[in-house]
Amino acid sequence: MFGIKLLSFELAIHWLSVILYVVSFVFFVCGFIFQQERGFRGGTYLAWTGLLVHSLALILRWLAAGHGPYLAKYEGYSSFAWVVVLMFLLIIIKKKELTGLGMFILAPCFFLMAIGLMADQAIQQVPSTFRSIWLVIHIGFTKLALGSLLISLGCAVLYLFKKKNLTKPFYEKIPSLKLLDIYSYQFAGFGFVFWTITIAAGALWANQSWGRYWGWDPIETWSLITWLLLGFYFHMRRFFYWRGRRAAYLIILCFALSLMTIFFIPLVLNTIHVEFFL
Amino acid sequence: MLRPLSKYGTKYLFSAKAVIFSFILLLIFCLIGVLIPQKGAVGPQEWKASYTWLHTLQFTSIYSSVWFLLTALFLVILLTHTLYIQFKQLIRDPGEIEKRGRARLQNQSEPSFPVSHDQKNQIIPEAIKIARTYGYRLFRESSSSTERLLFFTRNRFGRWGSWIFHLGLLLIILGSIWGFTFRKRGFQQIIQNELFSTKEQPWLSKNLGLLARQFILDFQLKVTDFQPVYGENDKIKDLSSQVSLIDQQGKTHEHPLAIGQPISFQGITIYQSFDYGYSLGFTLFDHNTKTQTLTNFCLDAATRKELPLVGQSDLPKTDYHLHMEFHPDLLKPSRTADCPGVDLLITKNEQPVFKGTVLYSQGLNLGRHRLVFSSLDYWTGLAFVKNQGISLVKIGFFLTILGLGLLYFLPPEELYLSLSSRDSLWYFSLAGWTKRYSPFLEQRLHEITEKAQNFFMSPKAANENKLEQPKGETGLGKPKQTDETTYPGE
Repeated sequence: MFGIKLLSFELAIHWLSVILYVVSFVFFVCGFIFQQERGFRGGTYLAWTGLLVHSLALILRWLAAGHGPYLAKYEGYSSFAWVVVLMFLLIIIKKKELTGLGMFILAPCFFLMAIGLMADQAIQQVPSTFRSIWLVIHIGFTKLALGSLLISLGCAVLYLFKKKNLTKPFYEKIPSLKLLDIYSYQFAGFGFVFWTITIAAGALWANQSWGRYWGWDPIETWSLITWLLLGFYFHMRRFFYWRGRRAAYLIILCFALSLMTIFFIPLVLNTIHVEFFL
Repeated sequence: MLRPLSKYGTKYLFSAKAVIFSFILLLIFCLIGVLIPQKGAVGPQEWKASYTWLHTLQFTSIYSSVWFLLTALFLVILLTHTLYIQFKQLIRDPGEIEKRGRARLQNQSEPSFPVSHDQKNQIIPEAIKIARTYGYRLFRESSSSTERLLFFTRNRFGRWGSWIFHLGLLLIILGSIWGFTFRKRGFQQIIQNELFSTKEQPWLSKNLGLLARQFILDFQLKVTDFQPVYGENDKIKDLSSQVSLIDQQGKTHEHPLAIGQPISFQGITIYQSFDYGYSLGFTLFDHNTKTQTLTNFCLDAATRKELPLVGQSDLPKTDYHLHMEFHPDLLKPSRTADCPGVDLLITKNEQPVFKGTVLYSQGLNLGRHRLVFSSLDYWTGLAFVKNQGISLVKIGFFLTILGLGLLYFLPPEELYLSLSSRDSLWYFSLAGWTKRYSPFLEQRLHEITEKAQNFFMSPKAANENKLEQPKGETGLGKPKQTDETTYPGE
């Protein structure tokens, strides 16, 4: 009985955090449109508040389920959003010029959470193969990778908007094209590091569980495709000076592929990730 | 004629275009692998029937195809060459930093700001202190009567990042090639309390590398105390057992085995798989020849405890075919064999000869034969693996991640500081170099110069020495770059 009440309370807290993220998003959008620092400040405070509430929801879920929040859509999407929002808020402490990216970060996060919250909330058992440190590393770094790529995407999209509207005074307060390009590159680099750790940890976990570190499973192959495309992006930047617009479009493609790998492929193809994660 | 050709070929073989080409090749192979059903999947037989050319070109087994192997070998050559070139550059004379610094300082259009004669002795220690707060360490110093140069570095070890990363990639590919060539993997269904030996029993399935010929174990194995554990939702939560390994000297080694906790013994790693079920043993007595034969039928565990374990097979040395539905407990849905029985349908030439429920230890007559349900035990699937090249791959993963971490989190930077005398005045200049994130370096140079300038610059000092105020809104003397000028090739 207590467990059911706890889960109902946790669900309510989750929805509250979604609402806070939505309001924060509205503040960021207003801050962007009207170029008001107040909008960004309000959005940041609300995002932090939403994150605290979200953290409480995840802690309650953890206590009720007896395992970390990573099984099935309900937990997986929520923890994804939590990691991404936390990552963004920590980054803008040091890099205040990136605060305007808030709307690009919060929109997919609250959208993802909402989808997860509408899915089955039943607590899943943790299979024995999942009791491994490599799993924790694999899941954690997947979220960090996606968060980094999302920030990189935000910078790339802003770059393209600003490049197209260079003469408009509205875009003057947005960081310079040079900075947007370099931030996009930097966060793509971080995403590449985290994605590599994800693949490595997944391979070591698979080897520990099944005696094979790579089996060309659809998710494994698509994650390798994403990794190769990111490698292609860095080599094109390094050797062929693909900067600015071309780099931005390539990062958008890399991000789309990463989204497809994590969220879309498990839905259409038969992989181990389907049964337990998404 | 061959020399220019080989020089030309080498130039393009190891060029950046070749690297990009290899990326594209790998991407194409991976896309083929995900879009065309591979060997072992449901599709290939259908594809083979209608698109035989896919099979001929090895697209239905792309990851073991000659194209993929050639690409892997090409990557090995490319990576080896890259490592060689990068290593040569990395171990070059550290005097490179000084040469680069002098060149960059000379290319400055104007010095950052002038300093008075009195201040010139103070500025260097202050600049060093400021540089240290940004993580720079003094690497080298050079002095003369008219000039003092300081060279700082930050994340100097980070310059090895690319080399370490590419070395890691090379090891991963070499480990994979090793595994592909020499790996041995066998899978067998092991009945609890029965001795398993590859010398007497062939593998249920095996996967051998290109040059691996046979997979024989030098030890025998017995599984005891097999324990399937179920969760609240009736799904399997854990499988564990005690394994006895008997070596060639007859010595027994006991090891626990569970999912995710493999055993290593004599170079073989044994994994507990998710496959398990009940093994039904039927003894067939032949009244005429007075012989008896025991046959074990391994039935897969049911997905739910209400469901029976189902299987069918021919009865060896007879014309009988058995359809079995085994109930661990005939009285209630259960996974534990408390009251075991099997619903049997026996056919001969597709004609039913028996249909009924046979309890454990019961028998039935089939013409001159008597069939007895004589034994019942768990079976579990174990995978045996050798020579995967996993050690090389693990080291490769570690180095790849280390290299990338250095590349993107600790990129090397250099800072050059100059205090030079010209026209009886001293000028303080700053320049820098990095391979990555140069706009951030420019920002840092700007901040360091501003801090130094704020510390020393005063209008009184400028007047006394008849110094000109530096140009530009930042006082740095160099005009700020605008966005439009920044991107070559756009």
